[in-house]
Amino acid sequence: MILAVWIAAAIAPTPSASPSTQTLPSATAKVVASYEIPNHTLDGSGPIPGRNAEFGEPSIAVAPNGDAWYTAAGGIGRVTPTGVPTWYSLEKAAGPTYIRLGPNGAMWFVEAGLDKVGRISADGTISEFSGSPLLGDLNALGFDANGNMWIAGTNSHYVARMRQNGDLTVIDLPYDGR
Amino acid sequence: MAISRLSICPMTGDSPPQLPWGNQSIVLAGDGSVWISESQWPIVRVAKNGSISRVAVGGPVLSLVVGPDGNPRYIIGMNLDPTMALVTLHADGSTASVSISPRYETSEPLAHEILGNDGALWTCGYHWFYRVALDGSLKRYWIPGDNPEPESFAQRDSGPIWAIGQESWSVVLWKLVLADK
Repeated sequence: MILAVWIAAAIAPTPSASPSTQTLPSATAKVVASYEIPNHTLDGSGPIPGRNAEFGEPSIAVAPNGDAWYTAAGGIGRVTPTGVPTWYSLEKAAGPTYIRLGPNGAMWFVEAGLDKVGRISADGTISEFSGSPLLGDLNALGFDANGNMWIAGTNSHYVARMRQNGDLTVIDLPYDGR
Repeated sequence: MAISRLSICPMTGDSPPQLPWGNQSIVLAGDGSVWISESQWPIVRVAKNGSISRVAVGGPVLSLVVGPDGNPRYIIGMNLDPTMALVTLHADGSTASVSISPRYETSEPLAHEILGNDGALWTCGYHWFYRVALDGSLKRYWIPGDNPEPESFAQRDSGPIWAIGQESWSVVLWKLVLADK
């Protein structure tokens, strides 16, 4: 009896076992389709996305109709649910990133390399908006329930709200030394 | 067009470490307030009436996401960090934290999103998607391919997941379905 208890204690899991030895439930994702984006190789012969403002950061959003819109170096791409791709070019240094669905079904994105905000409608029409001198290093945007756009800059210590009439409020964020 | 500028109290102390690009997020909570995260700075909440408040965080926040309950959430401390937790933010500035289990060495998380209606927070990295349920339980989904590294992903309703990132020295768009074995 004592031996049995000793053996049971000896083989019982140790509470302090390394976390990495725990079993992590796993499954496999099914890749329904994949699309290599042309002219976006990383071997030095093409632009390198996602590494600096000039080339932007890959970002993706899905429209209500199921179209996938994405940012990549030099432009905006769209793939329909049936797999039809379309590419919309921007200025080389635009650095598009952070694409989000906005009011009225249009997609909005940040042109980090130019400190602009871009809008692309369902028919592919692109509009660009320059920020005020108060804004720099644009990196992220979003919309509130009233359709106001909020934007922020990387390490620029501000967020800003732009009403649909263009009125802009800049909110300085705290950082060391201020 | 009118331009105005507001300031809130400065924070003292050393500058926080910086995360790679994409370290900011702006989300709309269910009560109409706007929440902004920037790396390790306090998370800022702007209420519908314009009042501004801050919530301190204990480490870098990759991004905020909003769950079906309207509350912003974020993950802190991946990769075996003992603080690895799913944190929910509330309008009154309080937070609720749930430990993530099992702790496991994950890929570097590159993006966070809420997918579906169960409030689970998803993150992705090299070769894997990770799902963190509201109770903190962690599950992962293998992405087959030649070293895929999704950097951003999105889903509409219960449709397929679209992701963009790098694979074999190219930029690739994936259309994915995550199914249990």
